[in-house]
Amino acid sequence: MGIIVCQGLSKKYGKILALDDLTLEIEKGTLFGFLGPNGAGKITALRIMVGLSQATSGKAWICGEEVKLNSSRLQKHIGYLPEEPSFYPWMTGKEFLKFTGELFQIPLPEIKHRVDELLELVGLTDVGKRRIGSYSRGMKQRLGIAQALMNQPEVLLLDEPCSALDPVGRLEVLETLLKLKEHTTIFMSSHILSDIERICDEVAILNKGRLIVKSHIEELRQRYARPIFELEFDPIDGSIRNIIRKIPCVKQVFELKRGDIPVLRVQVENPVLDRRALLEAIVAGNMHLRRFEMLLPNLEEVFVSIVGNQKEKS
Amino acid sequence: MQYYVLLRKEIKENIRTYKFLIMVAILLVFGIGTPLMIKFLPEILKLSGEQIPLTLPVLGATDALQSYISNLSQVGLLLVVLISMGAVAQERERRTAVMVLSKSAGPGAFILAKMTAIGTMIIAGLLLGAIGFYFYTTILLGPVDLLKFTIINLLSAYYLLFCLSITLMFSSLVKSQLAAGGLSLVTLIGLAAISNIPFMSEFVPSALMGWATSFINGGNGDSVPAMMICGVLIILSLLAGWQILRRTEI
Repeated sequence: MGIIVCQGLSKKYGKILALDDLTLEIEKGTLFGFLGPNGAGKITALRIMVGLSQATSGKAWICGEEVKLNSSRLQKHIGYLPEEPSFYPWMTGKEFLKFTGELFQIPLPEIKHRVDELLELVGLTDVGKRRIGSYSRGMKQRLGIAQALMNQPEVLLLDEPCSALDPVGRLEVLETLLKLKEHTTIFMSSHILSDIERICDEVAILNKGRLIVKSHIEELRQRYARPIFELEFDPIDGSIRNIIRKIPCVKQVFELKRGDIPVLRVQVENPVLDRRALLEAIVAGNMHLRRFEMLLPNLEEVFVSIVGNQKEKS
Repeated sequence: MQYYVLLRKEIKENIRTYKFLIMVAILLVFGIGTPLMIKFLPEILKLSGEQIPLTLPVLGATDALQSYISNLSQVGLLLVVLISMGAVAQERERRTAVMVLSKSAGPGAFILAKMTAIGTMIIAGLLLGAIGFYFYTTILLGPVDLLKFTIINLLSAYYLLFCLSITLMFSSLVKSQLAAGGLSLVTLIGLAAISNIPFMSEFVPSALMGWATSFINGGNGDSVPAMMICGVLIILSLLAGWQILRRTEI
């Protein structure tokens, strides 16, 4: 059984179906990206998992504990960062972390140690004694990450953890998440697809409340690969172009330059089946191949392709 | 354990956001202001410069006590509702409740800590106001029976704690603090109006304030049923607030 399991989770707000039969299983130690356009149902799913909202139907388990509304037993295992974390403006950052530790009933000496450690981790040591009311949005986001880590959770549920951060801050947070992955399962929703692509092992894409795809990122890129190969020869001449054009599976050939180096872009019917035929023809033609690369789409292109297809279907 | 953590947070919040200071200051002003107003009312009227053809009776400590009770049952009630209507509703509205209730803090401890902290604030304000009233009345208007005065204040504190529990229940029910305040006022004023129905007068919490007034006038009064019902209603309101929060999507 996975560390996070959702079975047929649905949530209705009046007549609106915000989450439609979400079934998902995530293994321990995974850094999982949860994607979807606005209103896809990501926040609804996250809130149900934290126990802040109740599913209309279906069940979920985290660390073997059944997810229920306001379940304190479940919350001991998880750390949660909402999209826009709210704090008491009259407290200092240090006080809020101490308060969080006390709520989790962590022994006081350990709290003191954890508070200092977490403030350093998120880069707030210098402002730890300042009132939260004077923090910028980015600082609040960092404090939000720190408070989610206070109880050293087995599962970390993050809603847009990098949304308010500057590029340097974003990189730091992503590096921190990669470090945490060693002993924590991380489930994060984000609109910044390059962040998800950079650190996540697996992703799920949600659209209109329904799970469209769940896969490892590399599998997804392969699955949605465009049927285009990039070839670099030493040197390229007219005969090479002609030979390539005559290969039966080749639909089109374009020539372009990468810096000063000329490359050929070859479009085929099927990227998996035609790869072999292309390579065999190159070997048979005794061409000096320097580079052969299948052009894989980035996550953003995959996302647009999947969500775009859904829109067309509907 | 979490109750004490939340209680410490509530007390710190009441101090740092000046709620404690405001509560104490208002009750102190009422405590001290009542005997001062009664003593100096004729002088104030003279100083207004208008020749009002009015003969004022000589007012004493008993009149000051009646005015004190009247202030507590009206202004005290309003003050309690105003200061506590956002206790839960505002935390839900600003989403700070999410940060607390997603960390193993039970809704029961959450609401009980608020009841204790605001209740302590009310009692502290009432105590300081009562001390101020007692000394000023004794000096300016004559002696006040300390035992009776203590009983009057205990009854008032009990009634105001009832008002607090009702307000906390409505504050848990709705996300808007204004709606919570409105519902609380309507309920409390409605209950006070019921006390005018003869056979109901002994059974509603506001009868406690009537009992306090009868003490001043020399009567012994007897509102044991009202005291018991008030206690039951405080417990029921807190239980209702807890259950509402437990079943509500924060």
